[in-house]
Amino acid sequence: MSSKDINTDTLIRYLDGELQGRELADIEQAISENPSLQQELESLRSAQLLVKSYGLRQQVGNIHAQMMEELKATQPSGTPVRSLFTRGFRVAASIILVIGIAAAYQYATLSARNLFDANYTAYSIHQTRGEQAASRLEQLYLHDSMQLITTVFPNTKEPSQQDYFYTGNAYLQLGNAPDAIRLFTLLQQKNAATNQHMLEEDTEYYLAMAYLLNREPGKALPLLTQIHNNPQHLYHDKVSSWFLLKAKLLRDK
Amino acid sequence: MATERNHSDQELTEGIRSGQNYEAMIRHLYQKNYPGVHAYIIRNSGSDQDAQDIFQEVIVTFIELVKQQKFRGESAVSTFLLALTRNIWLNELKKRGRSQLREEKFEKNKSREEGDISRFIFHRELRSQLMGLLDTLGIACKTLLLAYYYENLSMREIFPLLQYENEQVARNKKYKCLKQLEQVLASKPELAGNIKSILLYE
Repeated sequence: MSSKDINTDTLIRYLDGELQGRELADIEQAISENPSLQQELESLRSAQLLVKSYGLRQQVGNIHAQMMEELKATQPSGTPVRSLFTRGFRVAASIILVIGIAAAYQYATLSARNLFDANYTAYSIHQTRGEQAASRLEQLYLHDSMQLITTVFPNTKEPSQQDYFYTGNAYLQLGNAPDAIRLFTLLQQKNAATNQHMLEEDTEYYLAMAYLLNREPGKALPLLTQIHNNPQHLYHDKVSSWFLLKAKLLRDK
Repeated sequence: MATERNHSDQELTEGIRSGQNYEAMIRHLYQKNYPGVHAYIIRNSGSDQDAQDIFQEVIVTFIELVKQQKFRGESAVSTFLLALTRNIWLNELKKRGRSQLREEKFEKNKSREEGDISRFIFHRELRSQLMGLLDTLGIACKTLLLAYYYENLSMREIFPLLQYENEQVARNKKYKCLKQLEQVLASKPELAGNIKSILLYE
């Protein structure tokens, strides 16, 4: 292979490690003898480097949002734990004390983030649905490529309700609650405007979870109550009385 | 908060180099080091937002240095990160014209290690301009390049995900996109000429 036979595509294949044997040896020799090939190779390498650095920044940015939430949630709240023990009570008082301390502990450690962690499971697409003509975002969701979804969505022309839903869930998985809330709310607005009920119940549940992650239990509560009170709701089983009670306590905390 | 396993500095740097469990490593870096960095920035005329911005820059710089074998573990990771923070923040203060006194104090107090680190933190603004170049590619190109070069997905995985007709079509598109990016870079000689020092900290 002479230098003039080597085009940019071949150089890219070389950089990507796709060449082998004779082809590889030829190109290595051609590059070593030709400064303009060396220069082009360097330019392509720089372009690749730029993509990798961009990807890293994007990933750190996504984890950053999540970590800020978590770190805020672990800051000491200073909630006092009051002792219930007074003189005059013996056995009964001991039992009350234990129960009281346990309850006080539960209350003191109760946080929207803890409640979210204890109850959240990522939305999973039913496989048979994924095998049908899935949208690009649905495909990415199936492939667990949450970061790519957040890159693709803003540039999606006329996104469908499903696109909003998968992107909202991608943000939720990445720990970015404000954007998850924004997407789920937009989906609800789109449904209302078109008089449709697309992914309505799924959205109610995941919007409630996004509010919890965003430390807004007061906004999550009406949705959770609605789900709990409706035995026909898809997510009814996920919102137990205990879960609801904790959400109420959080709202009033 | 989900409890993270404690990683030794060695596990951390090896994890970053190998790319395995990457997210857990980044989370660990945040949990162990963000509070200290935040306190430092706040004590030195910065805001909460400054601390967040600087720490993201510190983490990206640290990971890239580890991957490029430029962090050799001669100091503890936390010490290194704080030194990076001090350097990046001082530069930021300089830019804002609020650094004279602090700079004098910093120069007086800084260790030899911090002197060495300063060479890694130039070009913050140029780096940000470089990242902007990728945004000038269409979304299809950007996604494809990120999927291949950052997410390390194979073309076989990418073509159905990004809805290309077949693997070869996706591959051809990738060539075109990389060439397009190369041309965009060539049109910015002030950035392209410094790319090694900007992205490879050389």
